[in-house]
Amino acid sequence: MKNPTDHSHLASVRHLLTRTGFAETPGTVVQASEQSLADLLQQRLASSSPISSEPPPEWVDEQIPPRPDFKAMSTVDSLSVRRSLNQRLNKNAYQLRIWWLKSLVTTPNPLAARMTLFWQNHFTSQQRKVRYGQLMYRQQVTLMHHALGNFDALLTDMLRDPALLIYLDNRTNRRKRPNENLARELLELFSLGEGNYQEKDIKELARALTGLTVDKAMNFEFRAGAFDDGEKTILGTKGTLGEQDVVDILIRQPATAVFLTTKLWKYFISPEPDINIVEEWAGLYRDSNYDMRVLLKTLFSSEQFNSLSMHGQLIKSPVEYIVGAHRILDVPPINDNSLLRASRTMQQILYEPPNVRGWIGGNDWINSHTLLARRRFINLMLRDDAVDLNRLGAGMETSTIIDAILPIRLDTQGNSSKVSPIVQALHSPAFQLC
Amino acid sequence: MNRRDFLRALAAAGITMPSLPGMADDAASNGAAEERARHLILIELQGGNDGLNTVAPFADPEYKLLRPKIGLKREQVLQLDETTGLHNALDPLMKLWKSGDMAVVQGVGYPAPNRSHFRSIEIWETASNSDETLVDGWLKPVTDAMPQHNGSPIKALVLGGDEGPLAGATYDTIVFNNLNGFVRQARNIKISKDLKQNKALSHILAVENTTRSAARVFAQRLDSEQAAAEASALPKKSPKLVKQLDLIARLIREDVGPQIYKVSLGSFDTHANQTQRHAGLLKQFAEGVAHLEKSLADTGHWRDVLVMTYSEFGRRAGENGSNGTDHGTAAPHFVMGGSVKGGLYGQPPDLDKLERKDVLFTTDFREVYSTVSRNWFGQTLQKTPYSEYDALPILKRV
Repeated sequence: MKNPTDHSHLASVRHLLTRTGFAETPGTVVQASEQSLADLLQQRLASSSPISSEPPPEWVDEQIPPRPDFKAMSTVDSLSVRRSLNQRLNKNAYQLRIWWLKSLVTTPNPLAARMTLFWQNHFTSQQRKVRYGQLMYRQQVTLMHHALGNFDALLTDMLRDPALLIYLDNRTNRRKRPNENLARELLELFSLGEGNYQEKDIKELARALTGLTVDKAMNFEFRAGAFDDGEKTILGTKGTLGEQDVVDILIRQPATAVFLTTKLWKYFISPEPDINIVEEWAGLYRDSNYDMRVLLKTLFSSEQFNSLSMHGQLIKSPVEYIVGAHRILDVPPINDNSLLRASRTMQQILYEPPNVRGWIGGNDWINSHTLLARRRFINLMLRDDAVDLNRLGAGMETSTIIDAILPIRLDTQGNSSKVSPIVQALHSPAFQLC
Repeated sequence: MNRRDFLRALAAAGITMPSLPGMADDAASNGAAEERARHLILIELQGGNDGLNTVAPFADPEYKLLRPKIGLKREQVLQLDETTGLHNALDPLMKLWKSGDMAVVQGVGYPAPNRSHFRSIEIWETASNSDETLVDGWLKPVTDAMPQHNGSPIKALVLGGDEGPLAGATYDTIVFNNLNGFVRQARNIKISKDLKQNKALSHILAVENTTRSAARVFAQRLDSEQAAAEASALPKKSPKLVKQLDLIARLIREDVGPQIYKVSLGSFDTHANQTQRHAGLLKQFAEGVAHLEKSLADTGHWRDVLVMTYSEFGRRAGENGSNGTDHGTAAPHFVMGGSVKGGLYGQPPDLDKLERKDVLFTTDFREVYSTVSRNWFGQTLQKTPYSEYDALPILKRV
């Protein structure tokens, strides 16, 4: 058992807990520091808890009715039908966003939740284009299911995901008139990364993805008549190649593992990956059949991750910031509108990445506008009736509380005896860091 | 070597002169007092403005066929020439047209147009091609190349909405909806010193610093009695755009420092029963610009501003079945200011030659951006998405 006032161990535990999940109360971090880093990591990786313990909106499994035939209606009717349809879609979008934000605040499985967020920013889809909340929810269920699983299984499911097929225009990708959008993003953003393929591969890949579409009820459908069954050559492989061949070809490419590992380094360690180590880990990842748990175990137990110099190298995303503040203060989700307003003004609306590349993150999160939004949000949280600072800090030294919350202690922190150390920590610029 | 080249040579040699961006040949050769800073005001017409009913080819028989119900008749336009007329809701702009302060650039768009609001506005904001995704706003290199003016910690101000064309110019741009709220929240940020050599922390501290400095500079420079007296002249119930442009005029008159401003007006997404709504929006737009001109004319600042509209797309050439118009492609845009050489520029789209029912662009939007950077701010940027495009001859002084 470790001495709980061992500040260097405490800092490492805070680092591991925050990066593999979200910030936690000072008490939780201190208690966790009685265990070794290896044990804590094992618990995170082995957790079989659900990602969400909040009930989803009741409509998530409802069948999507066919699109009304607006052309057959009078102008007045079509306007009112359109309006009520839009209202329902907007309401669903709102409810789904709230559900996911609240789920993150209360999640019993933080690492899988963080990985779901990672995949949502990898296989991006925008609700405003997909429109139906049911489809965004279904995509989310798929991402949650594979959050810590195998990439080839995830990729296979994503190529049949209605939201993604709609978002990337694959409904219009037909034998006679291919649409290259999905093919391009699949290579550039979802697997190999830029520079590892030719324009010709995009064209051929688009042909292999023809026919993957949705039916009137927006369920996945493979339309054999739209599929181009001619011979294609993708990244050197020749054949009549369809969807499953595509997955096989892509995961065989070493660049895919390197691309994903690089992205995970940036997500979990620092903005500047060490390319040699990334390649080594990518090899392990590929050899394990893309088992995410294998890669993450390597990553989180590495010297690189655990180096003190990596503490505070990342900037919290708005979602991490909002969720972390709740968890540190140990309060249930604040009211729906405030939650959504906070994520919107901090510029991360769930299910609405700015474009197909997703949120860039890092320094991009902080500008004058989002900085003030973050400050307003902390003040709002501190005014919440459920906050009990005395209870949260009971029996702990000021310096322990600060180190359990902040990755970096600034010279001004912990100096005031009048302001609660928790409040000081939440107001510190270092609280923006992770 | 003219004066501008001379100044550039000095700058290249590491010798800086004050107010470099504002200096121009004519002012120098006319022996005028040192020229004031130049400003750019962007007005985003959010939602896709219907170009064909803004600047209407009212005499074109094809126009009448495409728009039997909502098309503008001769008596509903203010004629600019024999075939082209402004929507009559734009009447407040006619003063600018007559005094030669308004350029109408026709058919502005880009190849392989995208008809999604979100994607197309991103293309306009980043100056990308339609099949590439860029991250930085087109004005980022412009602000980067712009020296600080009058000790202002910021170069650009976005009043509401997102940074859009200024994305990436984080240390140079402030975004807020409400001046007083911003000043109140930002002026008391406590600044910590970064002793840890951490890049993420340095970024946060730099943004904190800019934000606080901007709030303090705003408060200080707008606090004078004269500034306060001028500010109160606006009726409380004025439309939002008028209020925003009024604030911008104050900031310019008091020489607070930012040289780039963005406002937006919307929604122009007129799918159904558009006639009244479109007219209302155009009226707000025209009244806002007219107010701006009035607020800047007396002090001579009107010649120091360039007002420019943009929008994600124009609308479908033909009206739809709901007395509205669907998403389209190219549209005319306005460039206004005391230094503009007024007139019609570019070719109006040919309504006989539609592609997928939409007009073909005749002026690439990146030519407009190039004009702003090269001719208005006197920059010689390289490697921007628009530096290879020619500038348009729409300015009286470059």
